[in-house]
Amino acid sequence: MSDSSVNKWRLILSGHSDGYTNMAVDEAIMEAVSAQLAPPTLRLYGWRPPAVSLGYFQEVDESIDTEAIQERGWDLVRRPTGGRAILHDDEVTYSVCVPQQLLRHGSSVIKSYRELSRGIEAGLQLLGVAAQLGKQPANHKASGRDLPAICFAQTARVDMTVDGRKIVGSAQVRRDGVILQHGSVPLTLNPADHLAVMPPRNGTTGDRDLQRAVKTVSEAVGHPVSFAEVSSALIAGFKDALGIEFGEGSLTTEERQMAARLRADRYGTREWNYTRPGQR
Amino acid sequence: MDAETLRYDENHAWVRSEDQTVIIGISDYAQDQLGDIIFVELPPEGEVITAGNPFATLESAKAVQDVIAPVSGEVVACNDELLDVPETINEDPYGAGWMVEVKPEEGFSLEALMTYEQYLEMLESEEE
Repeated sequence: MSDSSVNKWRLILSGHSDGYTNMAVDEAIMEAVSAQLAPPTLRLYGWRPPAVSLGYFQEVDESIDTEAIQERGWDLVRRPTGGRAILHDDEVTYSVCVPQQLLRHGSSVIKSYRELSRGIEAGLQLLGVAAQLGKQPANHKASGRDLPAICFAQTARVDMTVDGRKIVGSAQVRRDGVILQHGSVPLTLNPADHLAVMPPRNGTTGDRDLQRAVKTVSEAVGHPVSFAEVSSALIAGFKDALGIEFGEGSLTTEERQMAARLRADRYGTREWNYTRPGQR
Repeated sequence: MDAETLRYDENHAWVRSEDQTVIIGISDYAQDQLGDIIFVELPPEGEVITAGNPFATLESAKAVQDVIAPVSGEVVACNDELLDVPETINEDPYGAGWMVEVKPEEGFSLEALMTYEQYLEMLESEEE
């Protein structure tokens, strides 16, 4: 293999931050990759306090209980990416920023999803979890109808599932030829918390629907797994599946400054988080 | 609308010339790469858009993507029906799925854009 074929990426282990910071950092990395100031990057992180993230276009309506979120001292943050709401609590979140042209199938949303998901699939396999792409959960329709706002209650054909239950919730944004894909890998999940902040429609309890739609890593493995274990497995999975060589790094000064600006001007503001684009 | 009579740019937008204005949408290839479109954000009428810069945003089931303006000028009409029925872009990208009508700035020439044949050639070279 020649040197030019070595696919070198940066690995950033951010630890736990609040939701506003997490989204600002993901976007700052995307901007830096776009401006060719940073190599393709895999970032792994967690959320403290827990936060509900909304899809870019998602409406804050009766399916999101903002009071319940505030009462708990949690954040509500609108993502730069598509999709539906996620309660980020006990999980590992990955984010990948990569120029489209560095992926084999970069120009297609669906195919690039599959390509990047191979890294997650391989990581989960290292933990002994046989995840598959695109199998719909058994009660997909029921959970989708009564829990319309919850990402993990819906399965698209490119989502990753175990025994028909969704195990990773991912979303993308594409700008200037760069893909940002991030996703949530829950270690454990508390249905009561989910349904308190994202209440089901029609007065249904939603409890069974949600439990039948989602599988956490700890459930799939059969015992509790730690943030560190899942992080290591994902790193190894991306490395093997995508043929990547990682250099552990940190945010550049420019990225840190950009993230601070994005947090102050966008992700930390009520205007951004509570109002859909086009309605501001 | 017949795809062969439209002009295209490298960001997969199509342009159709009207009397004093141009109509803009995204190509069949672009909608196919994005997947099922579920939300559309369009600029307000009167906004001036700039070639090479984003003027609209599309969300498919799994991704958000900007649409890059192929032409600079003032938006004189938007296809607001897309806000309610965004999947029209998937179903009829060259017809009912049009996005905005723009009065191009002076000096605009359709000749600067690719013909359908040239656009197909670009797609083929990208696939390689």
